[in-house]
Amino acid sequence: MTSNITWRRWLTENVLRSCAVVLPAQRSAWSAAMRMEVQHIDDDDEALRWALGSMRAGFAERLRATRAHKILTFRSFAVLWIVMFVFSSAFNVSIALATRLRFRGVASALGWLLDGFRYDRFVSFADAMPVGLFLLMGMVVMLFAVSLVQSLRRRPAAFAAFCSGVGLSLIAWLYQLGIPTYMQAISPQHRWRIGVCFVLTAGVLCALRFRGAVPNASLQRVDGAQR
Amino acid sequence: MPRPANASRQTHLLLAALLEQPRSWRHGYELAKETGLKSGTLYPLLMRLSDQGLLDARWQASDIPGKPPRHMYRPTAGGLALAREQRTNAGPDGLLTKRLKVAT
Repeated sequence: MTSNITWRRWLTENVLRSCAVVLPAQRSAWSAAMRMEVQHIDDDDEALRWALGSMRAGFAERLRATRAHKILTFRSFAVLWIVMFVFSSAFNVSIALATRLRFRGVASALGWLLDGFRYDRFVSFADAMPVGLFLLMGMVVMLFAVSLVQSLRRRPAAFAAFCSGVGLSLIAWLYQLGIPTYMQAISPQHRWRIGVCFVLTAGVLCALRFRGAVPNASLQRVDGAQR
Repeated sequence: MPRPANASRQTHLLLAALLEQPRSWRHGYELAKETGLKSGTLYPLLMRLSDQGLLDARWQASDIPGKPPRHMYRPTAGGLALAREQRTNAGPDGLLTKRLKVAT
């Protein structure tokens, strides 16, 4: 970034560079048109707005070019599922940590999403949690994040990372159940929901494992890549 | 019942703007200013009209030194016919005409 280019102009150029990647290959002339056009717009804010709009157009075109059966695949559902776990585990560790560190505003804001959350009750639970449990929950987030990255790269390791994340997450939850203040901090409905979620997840993972769906598909992809 | 192609209000606006100067080549930013459409709406419309053979596109060198060439657009005979048909349907005091006046 040279000194005579403003950050807005720099951002504009980078947005349009990304837009060129997003647009389907047969639309390359249009991505060039967007890039050239923005250089004729003198106002930096206006240019940035133009670039962001072009980016939106790029995504719309990409979506239009991708057929529905390609979007609604097993893999896309699996990725969505992993994303949910990443957010859920990150949420759990964030709310516990915020409460422990007495970031009341953050904890209350996060607790707004949690059924029956009461900060004063949650404080005693967060205080009773050992540091090791926080580390375990952090590891769970990392494993789900790794699983997400691996699945986006179509690597077979995604399945193993996800299973490890679910396993550790279950251990962390069972440990939490043993903390007396957990029962006061978390509503019975929410506890049931977590339990049902674990049972469903375990069921789906077992079904995939015994049907051999995930490992076979992964191996086929690896074989295909080697060929 | 599915909506016929090119029936959206934004397409009408764009075609009406192109009909204003049917012979001249116009660039995207000019069309956006005239119609009030944002680039995120304008480009997909231009692409669609071009795919349907209703719009011609070409590169034109810039008059300003140091500026890159621009992608210019002009309606084809088919595009003009469609724009005229839509203008007739909308009427002289139709919403599109008013919107274009506001945008310009």
